Amino acid sequence: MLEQKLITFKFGDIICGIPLLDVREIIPQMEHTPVPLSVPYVQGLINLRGQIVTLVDLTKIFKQDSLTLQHSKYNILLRNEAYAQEGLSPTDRIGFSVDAIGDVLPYFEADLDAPPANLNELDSRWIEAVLKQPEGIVTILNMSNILKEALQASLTTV
Amino acid sequence: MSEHQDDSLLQDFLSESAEHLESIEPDLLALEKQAPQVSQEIVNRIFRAIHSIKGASGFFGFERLKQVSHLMESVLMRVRDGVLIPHPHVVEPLLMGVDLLNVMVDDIHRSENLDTSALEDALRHYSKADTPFVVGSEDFALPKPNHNTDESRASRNVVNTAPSFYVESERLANAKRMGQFVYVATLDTNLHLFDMHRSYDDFINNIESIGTVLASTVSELESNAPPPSFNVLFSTVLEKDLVLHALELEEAQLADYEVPIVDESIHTPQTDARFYNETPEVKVEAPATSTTEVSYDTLRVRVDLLNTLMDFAGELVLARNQLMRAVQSDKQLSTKNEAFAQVLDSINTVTNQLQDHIMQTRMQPIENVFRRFPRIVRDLSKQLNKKIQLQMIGQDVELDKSILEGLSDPLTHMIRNACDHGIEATEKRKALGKPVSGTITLHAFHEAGQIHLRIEDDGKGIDTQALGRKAIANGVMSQAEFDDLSHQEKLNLIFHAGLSTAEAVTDLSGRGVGMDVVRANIEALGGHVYLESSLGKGSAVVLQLPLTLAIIPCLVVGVGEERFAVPRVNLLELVRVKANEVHQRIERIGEASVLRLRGNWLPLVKLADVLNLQQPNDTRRHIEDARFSDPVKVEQIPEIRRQSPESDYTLLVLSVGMNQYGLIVDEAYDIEDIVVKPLSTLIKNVRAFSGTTIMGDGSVAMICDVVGIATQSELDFSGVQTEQLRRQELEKQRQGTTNVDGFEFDAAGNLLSPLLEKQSVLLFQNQPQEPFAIPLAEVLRLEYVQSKKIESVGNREFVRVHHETISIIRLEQYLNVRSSNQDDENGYLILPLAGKGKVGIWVTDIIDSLEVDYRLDTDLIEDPCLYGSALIQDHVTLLLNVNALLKRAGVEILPSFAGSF
Repeated sequence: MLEQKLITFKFGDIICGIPLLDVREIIPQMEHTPVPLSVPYVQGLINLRGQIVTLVDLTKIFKQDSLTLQHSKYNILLRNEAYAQEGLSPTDRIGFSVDAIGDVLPYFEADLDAPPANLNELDSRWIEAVLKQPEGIVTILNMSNILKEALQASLTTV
Repeated sequence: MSEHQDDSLLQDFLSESAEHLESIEPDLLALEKQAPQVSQEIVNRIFRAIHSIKGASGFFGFERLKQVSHLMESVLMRVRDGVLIPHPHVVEPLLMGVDLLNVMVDDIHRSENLDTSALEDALRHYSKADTPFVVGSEDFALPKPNHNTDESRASRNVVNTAPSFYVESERLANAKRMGQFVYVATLDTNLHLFDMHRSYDDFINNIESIGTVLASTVSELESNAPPPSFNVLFSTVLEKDLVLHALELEEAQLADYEVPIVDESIHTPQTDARFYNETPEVKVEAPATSTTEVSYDTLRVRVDLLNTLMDFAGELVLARNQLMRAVQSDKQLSTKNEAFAQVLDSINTVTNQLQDHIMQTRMQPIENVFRRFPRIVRDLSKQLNKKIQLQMIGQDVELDKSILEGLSDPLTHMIRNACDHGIEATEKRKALGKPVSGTITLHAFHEAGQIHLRIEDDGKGIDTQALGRKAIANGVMSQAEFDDLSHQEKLNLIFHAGLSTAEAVTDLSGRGVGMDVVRANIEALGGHVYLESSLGKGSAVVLQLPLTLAIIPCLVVGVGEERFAVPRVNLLELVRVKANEVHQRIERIGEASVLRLRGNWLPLVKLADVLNLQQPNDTRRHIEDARFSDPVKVEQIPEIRRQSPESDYTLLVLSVGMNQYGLIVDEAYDIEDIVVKPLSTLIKNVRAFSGTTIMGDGSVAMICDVVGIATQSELDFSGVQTEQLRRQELEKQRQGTTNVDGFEFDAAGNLLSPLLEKQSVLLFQNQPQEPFAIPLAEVLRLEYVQSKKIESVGNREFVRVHHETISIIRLEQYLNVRSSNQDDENGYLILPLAGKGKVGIWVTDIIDSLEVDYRLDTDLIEDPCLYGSALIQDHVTLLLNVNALLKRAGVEILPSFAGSF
């Protein structure tokens, strides 16, 4: 069985993770341009070495009042290939803000648990699996569902 | 078989075939036009194109494709031979064949399933109409080997006689030029191949080892099972006996092949003259499109590679902008080091040139779109039973690829429109005394940095009354509203969805969807559509398009802390309204605010309002923006800003089609060339923006979509226009007023109300602190005059300028003002328009000519020769009533001017 890696990050106190291979780059929060009239979860646009990246506030997609971005210290930029099939254009560059960046965790498929019925903070739609760690539970996000939702919202809101 | 082939090879074949097909169509149309004469050059060109398709499709095993092209070739051959005259009924199946081949090439893997039998029958009908069809050699030009010269033409269909080849004349000529011999080998398959234990391929390889195979009567398909006999044409440097030895052939099997004399200027397949003895000796001029074709060295490049290059060029432009900005802000850097400045200069220049050239790689001649129209017009004219000519001018005008792609549909629509309801039926044209054949002109040209496209027809024009009836019937407007519209506005009704003047809905057009779509499409490309029409004479649609969409000049504006870019093509002018004048110049009509600008009412939109900026609890806020961390401050800032007497209104006058509106922003900065980046999927539904860009300082800015903002803010142009017209009409009726040169008078010639708007005036004075102004529009010209040249006759003064005597008026003679300084040596004469150049007003000093806003004060001044006073440039200025002054001075004034008093 192959060892895989997870990058962990925090929204408030919740530790989340996504596969390291889906991540293109992690950059410190930079000044961004808001997009008036866009859907609420679009935080703004940043210029990353000449490419324009759309920053998304995931916590707004989660629609969980108790969960909001606190400091928004880092941006995790996703690799195109990781979400190409979600109806986004291949030229889209998408990233999301997080409050803090944690460790890279090695794990095996077998270590993963199915998401519990009620993980108090998050709808199970957004959760792929959970990984128990000494520091607490790492929620592995289902980016596919999340981006699908984001896209849906952006297309229906005019 | 096709699935075994290398995919890239197949792709090449498909794109080449598509290109061939594209070139065949205009040639076929030209052929049809010239009938009964036949231009060999054109036929051969078509022939060659079809032949390459046939050859390659055989190679890939697309039987149906091969079959259709083969039949087309056969028909063409008879046309070439002069047996068949390319009348429309002959060209028709050929054109259909082109269409069919296009369909097949588009979806090659399903091409085998197409039912082509009907077309094949039609083609077959023409390919063997009067003569028996000879299989095997029917489609080849027949270069006869020497030893066959005495054989009769009739024996060609006998196996193992006259071989026939299709070979490019250039290759033959090349071989000869390089001192090679060209031979024809005639082989019996059983005797010379199988009995000698070699295959056809072996034999060909054999030849290739000593020379080059130019042609063979065996197709690639048949190479495994060659026909009983075959011929091969090849070139080699070897003498005949050596060749015989190398190929293990007998002397009878090898013949010299005489290369016919080739006219080097025409690269068409060479043909044996004797084979064409039936061909009428006709020289037909080839159509203009083909004669001027200059071939440049070209290379196929993938479009995505060009796009990447374009992106990088864009990056470079941005980096250059940032560099320039950084250097400008750091004076030390640029002044201290001369060499550095030079380097910077050359980076600047090279970047500009690189950008220009890379942009050019994306440019394509508009011909690529025009190309399909001759066919469309031809088909439509047949279908509609009208005679229509299509004229195309400016096919070489180049446009960005992305714009070209977007043009195709709207243009097709307009061409159809012109054919269907522009051009009248033939009988009607006859009755009207118009040329029987209608003309549609497509004209592309550059003007003012934009591409203009004019689609003009000499048909019946647009019936605005009919449009009006339709509009009224559909409840778009009332009769009264319609009557108030100008001719142009009535024409513009055609852009209204659901209105069509065609009495009957045909399958071509008339459903009234269309022109609104055309306009939407063109505006999406950053262009504009205008209409011209004269009833009974014809109409024209004019499209104005930007050259490119990738890098565009934009005005950068600021709202609050944000910057936005507004495309310059949409920008007509910038207007500044002083804060203390805001409530005087800006009115409300219903829901909309409007600005009076030179007699027009301009609906106003505040960019901050449209974009929901500066609202508390706005989630889309800049998180670093300190202002918003305190909700109380957020509430205050906009209010303070709005009420501050220091802050003026900056207004962008923007054009949207035929309409205009004013966009209020906080600040207008520079016009910059910006690189347009597309909106990401997550935000592309925001209509107010058309793209994003990276500014000189590296930050991202949104590019405003001028149309989108108008839609977003629900601007009601027609409402404002109607209201404006209504009010003006009302005003006129009540007062019987006239408006002369910006001043408004009643019927008696008394000045009514001061108009608060921009006026161009000439400022002058005779004594310091006593400035006068007259509207610039009333001034014919100024003359500089030396005092000593003034001659006095009685109590009148004259001066001769350019052999004309000008009578001088001094203001102090007629007005209660201070006299001009007599000591001054020189002065100016202001020649008013009304004085016909024979009268001049003497002034000592011309101060300025400028555009000003002023408020006319009429209370203090009683003299009818003065309109009143106004504060201009902080001085109380007297506004001179030139006409009254001239009258008082006893000068005869021009009738048109006299009439207004």
